[in-house]
Amino acid sequence: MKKIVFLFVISPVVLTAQSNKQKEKIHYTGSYQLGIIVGKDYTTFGAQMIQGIRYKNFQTGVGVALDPYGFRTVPLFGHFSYAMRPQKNSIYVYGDGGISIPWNNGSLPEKYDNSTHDDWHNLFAGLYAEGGVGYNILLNKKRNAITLNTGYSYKRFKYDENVYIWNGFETVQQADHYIFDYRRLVFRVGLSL
Amino acid sequence: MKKIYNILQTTCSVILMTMLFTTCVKDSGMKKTTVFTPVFKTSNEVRASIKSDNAEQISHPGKIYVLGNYIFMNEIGKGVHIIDNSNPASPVNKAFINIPGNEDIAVKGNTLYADCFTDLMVIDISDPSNVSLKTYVPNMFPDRQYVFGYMLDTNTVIINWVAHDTVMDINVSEGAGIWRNGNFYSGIYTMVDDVFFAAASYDGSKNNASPAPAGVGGSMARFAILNDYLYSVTDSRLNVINIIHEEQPEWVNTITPDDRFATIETIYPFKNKLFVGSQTAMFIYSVDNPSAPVLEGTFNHARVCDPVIADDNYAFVTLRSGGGTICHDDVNQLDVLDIHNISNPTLIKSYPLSNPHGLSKDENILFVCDGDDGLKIFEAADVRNIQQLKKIELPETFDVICYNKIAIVSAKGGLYQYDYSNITDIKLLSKIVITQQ
Repeated sequence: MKKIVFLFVISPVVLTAQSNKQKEKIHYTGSYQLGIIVGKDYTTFGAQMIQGIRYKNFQTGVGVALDPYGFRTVPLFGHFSYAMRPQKNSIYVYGDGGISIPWNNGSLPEKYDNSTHDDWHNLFAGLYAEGGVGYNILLNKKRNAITLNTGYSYKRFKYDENVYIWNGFETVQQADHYIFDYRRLVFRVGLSL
Repeated sequence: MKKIYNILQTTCSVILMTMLFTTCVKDSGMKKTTVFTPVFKTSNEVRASIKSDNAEQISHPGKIYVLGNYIFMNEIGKGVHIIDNSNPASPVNKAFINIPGNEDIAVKGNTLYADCFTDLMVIDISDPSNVSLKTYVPNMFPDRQYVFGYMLDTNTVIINWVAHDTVMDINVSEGAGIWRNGNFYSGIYTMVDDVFFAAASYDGSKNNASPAPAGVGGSMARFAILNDYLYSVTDSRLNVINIIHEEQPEWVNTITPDDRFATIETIYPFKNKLFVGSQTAMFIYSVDNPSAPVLEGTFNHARVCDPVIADDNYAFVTLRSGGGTICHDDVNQLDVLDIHNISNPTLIKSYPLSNPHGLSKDENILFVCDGDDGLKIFEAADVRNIQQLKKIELPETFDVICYNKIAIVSAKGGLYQYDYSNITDIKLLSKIVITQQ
């Protein structure tokens, strides 16, 4: 299986890089994408923006996204990509890594109610990671491009729920810890400027 | 040719990666929690074990009952501590009666009445160091047969609960776990009020002239003795038990009032009335016919927890919201009601408080346990102008009994006794340490 992955994914990267030895400055670049997030039984829309720099085949930066899958979160991540033929239409590979910050839509109330003011749900950021391949369709010599990509996306969402339970002798508050892992496919289209 | 090769290569890469990733598309959830599982015993084993044991540390105090020189303190779910209070400055924890499932107690003469899950235990306490089970009334409290997910048969009781840290998988799919735009489908859990933070209180009056004196319970109690009858409330029912023959109680009646009654919390006897506190109202029952209480008056209030006491002319109700409990509304106050017309109790005035629990009254002095805000002592001669005389700083005060000019206060960490014979110079007499486990 590793050989197949190398043959189809890694080898083009190496080959293309070797043939692409033009001198190039560092450029500021921004990427804006909309797409769909496809889970096991459910599909939703997502969006992301990446700001960073580009040098030769490489691009790196930081990004922010809106990821409503499962529980709405805002991933903050570092981004890295490698284009096979930066001066032409070509495929690229990319990887993102960071944290996914929950953006509560009210479905997990933070307080019990107005009368108690006790904590009910405490939400926590979780790991966020994505990797995939894309295709750049250049629009001009400045390397502005339409981008298409697909990837495998993982996010973790965590929260504690403070519940009142009977422990056999008295009512006590206890925190139940919940962890949700979402592994999805993403398909996006956007602009790289 | 090379272009075609590149396009084919790209297409194959995308298809292959999509196929690889598709097999890994998955949502999963996990819950880490603590669950409590019961330890069972047969009812016969439990009854055989009811006797005076060595004194035990008080760790989960419940209802308090005072009779003569003794304080009887419920250890929630486990039994009853017997405290010799002959010298209030130096009370002695004398013995412990092992009664699994016990939550409520009442005392008349030499007889202790205590619930043991569904059954009512009748215990001779004439010699506190050597008590004995005289008899029991089975299935007096059928509501207790269902215990936090366990439906007990008539021959089984739960004597303990054991905690287990547990990790469980959560099925994350449509309608389970965290799903679709944050729509939340949680497992069912039970939120229970802190009704067992109870002690008792007493208004200090000497109206009960029964030959075998009943002890004094109070505003948080669910058992009340009035003359020759024991009245007990469950969430939805008022039981009437004849105890003319103290050691041979006899069930005579159960009253199941309308829906509003479904959340009863406390019962307080005064003269020929029963004042019943529920989460939505205070009810006044006449017991002119003691075996058949008749509803005479109702005072509706916000959905909160509401211990109540009364005297000849006024009822005093503390309303509190609960810390994550079923005392829903945001109300924390003392309501004073005019009960001259018993069929139409009317609100005279409300006094704001922090988180009031039990209360007790001795003549014109009113004691209120105001949760973390301590024990508050009021001058209540003029109910339209109740004035705070003093506040004693105590953590998590639950309830208070006024008895022979001594205020017995249960609070986090201890059972305190204060001498208030000189109201301007209230003195701490003693403290029994409560060790929270």
